Amino acid sequence: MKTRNILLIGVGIGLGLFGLFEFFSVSFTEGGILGAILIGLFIGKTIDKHPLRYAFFSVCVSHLLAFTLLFLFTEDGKLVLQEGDILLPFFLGYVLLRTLINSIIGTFGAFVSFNILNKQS
Amino acid sequence: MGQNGAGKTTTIKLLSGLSSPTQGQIFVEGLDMASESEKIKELLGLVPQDSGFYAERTALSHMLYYGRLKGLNKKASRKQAQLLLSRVGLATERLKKVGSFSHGMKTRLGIAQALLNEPKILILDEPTNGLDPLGARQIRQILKECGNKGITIFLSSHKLLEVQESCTHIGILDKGKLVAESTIEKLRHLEAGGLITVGVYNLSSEIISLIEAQKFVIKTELKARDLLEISVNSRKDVKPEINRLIVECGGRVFKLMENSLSLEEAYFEATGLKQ
Amino acid sequence: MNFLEIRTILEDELFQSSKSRYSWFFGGIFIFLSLIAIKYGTKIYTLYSFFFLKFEGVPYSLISYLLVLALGPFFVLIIAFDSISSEIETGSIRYIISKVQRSSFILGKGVSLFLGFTIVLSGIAFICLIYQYFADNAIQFEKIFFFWLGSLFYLGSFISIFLFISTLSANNKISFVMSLVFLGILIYFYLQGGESLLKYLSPYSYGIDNLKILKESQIKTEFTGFFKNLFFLFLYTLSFLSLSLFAMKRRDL
Repeated sequence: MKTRNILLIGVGIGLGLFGLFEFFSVSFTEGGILGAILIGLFIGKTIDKHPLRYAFFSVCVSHLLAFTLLFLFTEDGKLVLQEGDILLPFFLGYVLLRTLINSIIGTFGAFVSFNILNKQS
Repeated sequence: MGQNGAGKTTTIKLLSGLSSPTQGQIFVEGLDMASESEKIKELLGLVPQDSGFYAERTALSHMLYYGRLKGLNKKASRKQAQLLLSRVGLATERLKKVGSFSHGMKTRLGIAQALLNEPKILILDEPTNGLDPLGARQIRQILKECGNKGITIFLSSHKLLEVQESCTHIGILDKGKLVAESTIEKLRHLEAGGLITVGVYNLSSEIISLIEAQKFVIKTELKARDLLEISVNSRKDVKPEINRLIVECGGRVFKLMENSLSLEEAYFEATGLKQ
Repeated sequence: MNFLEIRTILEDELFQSSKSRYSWFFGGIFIFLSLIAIKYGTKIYTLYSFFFLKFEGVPYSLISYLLVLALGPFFVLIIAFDSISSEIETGSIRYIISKVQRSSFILGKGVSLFLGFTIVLSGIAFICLIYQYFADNAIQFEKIFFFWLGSLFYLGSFISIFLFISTLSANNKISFVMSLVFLGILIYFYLQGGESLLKYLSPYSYGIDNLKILKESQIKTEFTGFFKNLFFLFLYTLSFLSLSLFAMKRRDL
């Protein structure tokens, strides 16, 4: 499979899981981490070269997209965008920090699955 | 034998248990690698390519450690270590740190550790790679001695001279496939079915008939007025015999050569590569 | 698994570590820091007495345990991160694996690290005892034993974690970075705190929970919790050790 396709699938899985966790009211923290680990494991298993950077990129993109959709299409998100003058930078900081941490966790997941499946050679 | 990336190191890794096959089976001395790898390890001595030793340790300390890992007790391990280090010419350097060793010395230490506990098969991955001519010669000498002691030596190389000097049987790998496997003689077409060209100034029908009457001759073909090609079927070198027959018949031989392939030509023929 | 092979690797590791300046240096720093902490324990005790309310006398074992909790994982990281990866990086592992089983190699390395830290922790426990003796405190063998046991299981879990990462890594650089990343992740998991399930994925959670037994004057009240935490830490160690064995078995060397 082409690397670009795997990247897209990774982002797709991330968005799907985000939606699923949102639907079942799983917290952002736990859901985000679980999603990041799953994406990382998937990318590490599928890809043959540079799994870490692709896992990081996939988790990062899927998180940013998911949060953007959340801000644009949910009532709470709209409220924050319209009314949250002071709160907005706080939320953005939260989103970026969460994205960064989860991307690192996803990267670690990819590292484990890539190496445990013995692809380093 | 095979060019870079042909699969020589992979084969050796598979045989010595450093890698696992994704498919297929490996048998060493009739033992299945999948189920009896520990027994196989006891039979093998491995000299891997470009593998490092602990720079801070002495040659003797390495040998003692590896001897213990091979299941020898402390006393036996020390005894074998001293013996093998002197066999590979490292007796005087046994207490020096391996970090200060040259590449050739490290290879010799590698061979010494592989000979611990007297393996039946010694596997070497390009042992003379990166060595100067003298170092390479020393290694070949050690291997010859091991061969004389009855140890089967399995080595990978892309140096044709080394292979020609050290080996009796050759397998040629190309892109992961074994494309030829035989004795050197067979690969070079020296055995059955060899061709000999003989040049005689005064070539006569008598001489040709005499040659054709020999048991080892399959057929003859006159290539020119004074040039005869003889197809022979013999494991022996029959050139002196042919020469004697011609001279006894009064012929004056100016050329007598075997039309066998050089190992290089045999290699290119087997791999289908152009020289 | 072959016990003779494990023993040989273990003996060699311990012997080589005993000659290594590197291990003496970091082991020494660890013991020295606990010595300082114990020495100034009285001051800490006075300043933060609210923390040790229920304690009778200066809580030397508690102070040492706090040090192990905070710095122990970093010391384990520094000592353990290259235990396998350096052998893979230099290729020396090939000489070993061609002679012994892979599981023996991992277990030999793991047990030697474990024994090494047992020695360091025993040193700290011994210092605690000496201080208690000279400070005319009542010698609390029980507390020191709990400190020793709790620290051992706590550090044991980190040893198995870093051994696992070292097994996965192709060289020391990757191993060091990934070990640091994972340590950060574990701290992050613990920091989620509260009702979050994530904190139970981190050995920090069980290690910090074991503080209770060293704080309480009545040890028996926290007995069950302590051993439950030790059990979870043991499970943690066991699972990461199994993962290391699994990864090693599949690895091309």
